[in-house]
Amino acid sequence: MLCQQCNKNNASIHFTKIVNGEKNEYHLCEVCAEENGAILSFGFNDNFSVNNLLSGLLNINQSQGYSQSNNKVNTFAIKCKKCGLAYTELSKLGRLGCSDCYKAFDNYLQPLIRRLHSGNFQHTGKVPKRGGKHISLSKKLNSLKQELKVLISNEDFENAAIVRDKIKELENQVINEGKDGNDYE
Amino acid sequence: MEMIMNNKSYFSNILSPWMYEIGPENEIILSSRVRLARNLDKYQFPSRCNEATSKEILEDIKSNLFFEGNEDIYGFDLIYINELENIQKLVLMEKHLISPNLLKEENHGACIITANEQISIMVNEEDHIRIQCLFPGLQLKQALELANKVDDYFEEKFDYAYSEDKGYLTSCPTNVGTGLRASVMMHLPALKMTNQINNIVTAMNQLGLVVRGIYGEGSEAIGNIFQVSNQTTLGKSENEIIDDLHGVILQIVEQEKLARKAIIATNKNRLEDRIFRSFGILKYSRIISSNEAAEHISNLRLGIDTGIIDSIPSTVLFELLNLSLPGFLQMNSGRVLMPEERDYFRAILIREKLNQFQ
Ligand SMILES: [Zn+2]
Ligand SMILES: [Zn+2]
Repeated sequence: MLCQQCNKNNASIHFTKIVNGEKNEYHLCEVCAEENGAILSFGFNDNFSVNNLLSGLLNINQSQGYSQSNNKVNTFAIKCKKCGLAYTELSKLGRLGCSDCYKAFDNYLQPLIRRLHSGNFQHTGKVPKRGGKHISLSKKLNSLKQELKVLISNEDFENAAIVRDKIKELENQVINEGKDGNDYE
Repeated sequence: MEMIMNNKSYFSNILSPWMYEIGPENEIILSSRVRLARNLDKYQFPSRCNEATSKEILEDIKSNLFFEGNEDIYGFDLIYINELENIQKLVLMEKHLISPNLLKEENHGACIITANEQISIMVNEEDHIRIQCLFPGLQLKQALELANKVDDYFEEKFDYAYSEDKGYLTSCPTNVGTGLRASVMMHLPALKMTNQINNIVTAMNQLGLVVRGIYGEGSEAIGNIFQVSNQTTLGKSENEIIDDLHGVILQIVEQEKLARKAIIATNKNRLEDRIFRSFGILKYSRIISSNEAAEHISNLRLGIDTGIIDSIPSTVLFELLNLSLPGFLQMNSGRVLMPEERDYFRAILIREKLNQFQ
């Protein structure tokens, strides 16, 4: 039997991946298997056949969306404003583009997420301690102060004034954050 | 901080240092693994990033973790995937320290690891950050605890993509919520021999667990090694996910122990014959395929665990299996090997290894 992928070498690696009853047969030569990481994906390839499954589910949801609402919202036109991912791409790739996508496609993701997580849709696990925001702010502050020094030494006072205003704004934010403790937005 | 990685032990040692430790239920559970998927809020998820953004993300992570004066308690080491030789990449994959997803050049993948290779953090994989902790034997709780600590350390430095109702936001909705994938690698030769394995796999599936072999035909896992992991990541807390998995795993361990006892009670001669034949093939063959090797390595390990063979340490399973993989084979022979050459070198390396235990 020839290798499914290159159609050149003899297929020496035969395997079936079964993930929750979904069967896929593979016949590859050692070189192609290695390239695919087929042998090696062990332990990592958590989403082996999930891609197809996801786009399948998204398409179902999409058609359900039509029949339920019965208004002429064109789901294909929906896009995430932050990253520009379109619904068509999402249903093809099964991958989201950014954190805002979860809001942008919420209507379509909600049933999918329930199906994937045995009916669950509410996170009950770990909550980040939110040390990050403060640290990244003070880091930004430091780099702005550096920038200010350079601008002043170059006698670029116009831009220096702009940077100084930014610094003031950030310093206020840091102070306010300190008051609020670890509140979330 | 420029680093030259080429002479690091990650590439030359067959086993990760932690693999030499003995963990609970070691004779059946080979290893436990916990993985947390995290994303940085300010960037698009990796699949949507262009090359420049991927590079920026890597720089961002690097500058926040690897700067002068910053000492983490883990002794993290940063490895740029694009700077590695192909064989080195293969070796890291074979040790399960990185995944094939990380290899695409335009992804600017990196791996942050510790000297004992117990912690491995992939950067720019399917998610920006994937924290992985590996432990010998059944130690899911310990693995989660360590992964949580590393996660906290990262969270001090980065703003994660997180929402109150969906939890940690991941590139794929299968990981959203806790972003937690917990898994154990189990050696189940007796359940296989007694034809119980298919029923057990079905039962585990019904309990919402995912079962995979390394590779093999049908539902048979070559080498009788199975990976069992949680399927859902949302709706249960991290501890609940781990506890549920742990409970099921313990039951399978009991079943495997019972099956081993039953075989020894009723068919000891046959079992011994099988084990010593495998031992002989591994010791004397001149050409051996990876599938054939895995089958006999599994038998050898069963022989060690049941006391039928006592001159060889149990780590031989990982050692021989890893030796048999293309990356290590080529690393050891010092050159690129064609598939048919590999079978020849594999036989040599296995013989050499086993001769060390005479
Ligand atoms: Zn091929
Ligand atoms: Zn988006």
